[in-house]
Amino acid sequence: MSEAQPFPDLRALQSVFWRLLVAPEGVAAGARALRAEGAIGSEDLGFLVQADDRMTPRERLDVYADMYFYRLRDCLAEDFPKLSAWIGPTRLHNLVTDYLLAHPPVHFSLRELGRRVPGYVAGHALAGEFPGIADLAALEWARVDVFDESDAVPLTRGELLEQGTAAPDVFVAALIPAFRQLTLDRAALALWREPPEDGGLGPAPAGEPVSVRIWRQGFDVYHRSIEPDEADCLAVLAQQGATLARLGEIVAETTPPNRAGARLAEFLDVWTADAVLMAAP
Amino acid sequence: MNSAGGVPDLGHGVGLRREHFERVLDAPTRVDWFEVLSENFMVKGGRPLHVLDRVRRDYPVVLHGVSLSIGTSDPLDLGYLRELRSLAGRVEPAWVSDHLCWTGVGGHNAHDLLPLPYTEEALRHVVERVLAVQDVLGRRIALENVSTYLTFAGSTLCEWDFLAEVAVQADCGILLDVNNVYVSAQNHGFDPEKYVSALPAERVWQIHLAGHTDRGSHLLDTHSRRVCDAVWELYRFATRRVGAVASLVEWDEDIPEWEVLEGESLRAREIQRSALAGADPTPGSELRSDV
Repeated sequence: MSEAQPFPDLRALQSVFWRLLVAPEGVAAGARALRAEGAIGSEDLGFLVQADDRMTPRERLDVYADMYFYRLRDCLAEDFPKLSAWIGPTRLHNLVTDYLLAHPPVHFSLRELGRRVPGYVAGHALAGEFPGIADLAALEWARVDVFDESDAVPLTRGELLEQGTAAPDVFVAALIPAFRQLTLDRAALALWREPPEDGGLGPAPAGEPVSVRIWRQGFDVYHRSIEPDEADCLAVLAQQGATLARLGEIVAETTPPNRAGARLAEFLDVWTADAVLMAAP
Repeated sequence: MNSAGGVPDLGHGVGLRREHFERVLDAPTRVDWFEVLSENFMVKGGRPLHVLDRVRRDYPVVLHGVSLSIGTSDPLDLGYLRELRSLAGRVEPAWVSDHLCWTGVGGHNAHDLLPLPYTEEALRHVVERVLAVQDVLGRRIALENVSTYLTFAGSTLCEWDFLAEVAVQADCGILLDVNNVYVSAQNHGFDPEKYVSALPAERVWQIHLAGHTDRGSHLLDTHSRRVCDAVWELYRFATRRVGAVASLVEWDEDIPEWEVLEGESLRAREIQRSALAGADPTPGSELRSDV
């Protein structure tokens, strides 16, 4: 390509601009890469952007590149505040740089930017160094996810018992949309609960797996660890809903017959108190 | 009513931000209307939509988007437009607006307002897309001038002519951001009053006001502080030019207490009143809320 490169058409301009915008080492390095590929004829970018006595074309493009990165970094830091606090600003900066290269934003809403963070962190060097970090990200994302999930009318305990006992094999209860269930490293719960004392990340011991439910009640988001039998019931409720009779069967698989009824009643009490059950659609 | 634009003068409003949800719901305010960022409410449920419904019960609302990407060379995002249409059906906004820019290409979204080259090719492209968007939404839209930090070497039109031509050819409105005009004028060395004077006044549906940050080599549109005196003066000039149109103060970073933001809106009201009355008070002498 010659040095006297003509001004590109809109499609080509936006393609070059985008490559410069997201270049992880900055616009100058991005321009060198594009020049090496033959995509542009000059690294000074004067064919693209007017220079003046205040700023070079590269400096003007750097304004946009900085805005791109820092806006997205701030958004991710807001969605993952505990993760950000634990790993600290330098590691966060590097993690976001890596993440955006792997998963540049594609959705029209910034709300979706962090959806792939938990999976990405699980495969990142940070996860090997600090157990629990990937699951901490998964917990934080689940909390983001239920925050603006669909609303639903929860069943009161009275409604559940009235409808469920009137037709124990017919009436099907389900979980509200703003509910998630995860299996996490117990260390992640400790990381969520306890902020770092010195702003840095210390090695956390790997914990055993634990089931966690995350839900929204009203406008507030909660999470708590749960026992395996509650997790089994909730997994069935999440998939296709369940009758009270079916829930009784699940509880009976792990609970002595003389305690199964009381255990199910305990679950129904807490689920209705937390407003996580609704009539199946 | 803005005479030729056919849109209502909503008075003076502010951008509704999460930090002020409780205050706005708890007690009456002295602002006339709210502008909300469309994408923040394209969600399934929860608090954001609840707040929006409550606010809409008591105030006019305008939907202001940041992801239309009217200037991208990618195809229109019909999924986005369907969600926007659905939200507009729920909110019944006074109007829908977005920015004269592009936000991504190749299926990616920078979540930033990127500058367009002011060429005949880009003009044709944007006009066609505005017409298509208005067709899908079933309503006319307004486009806002953005702050820019560069001038493309191949631009053959000035920004104000480009904006005016888009508005006329696509029969859409203009959301005139006088802070953005000022920021771009300082960054590129043009006369901001010349910019405002060149726009078709009857197409200006709304005016934006905001604060910016001086980064030494350039001004940055940060929405992080009070409106500066020079921008108030440009607002006064614009008001004399376009008349009484809905005006709104944006504040998105370092968001202050509600009373500070409300005070900025009250100041805009007073400046508009004095400008339309022909008064010419000393800059900065109008009602000011230094809470």
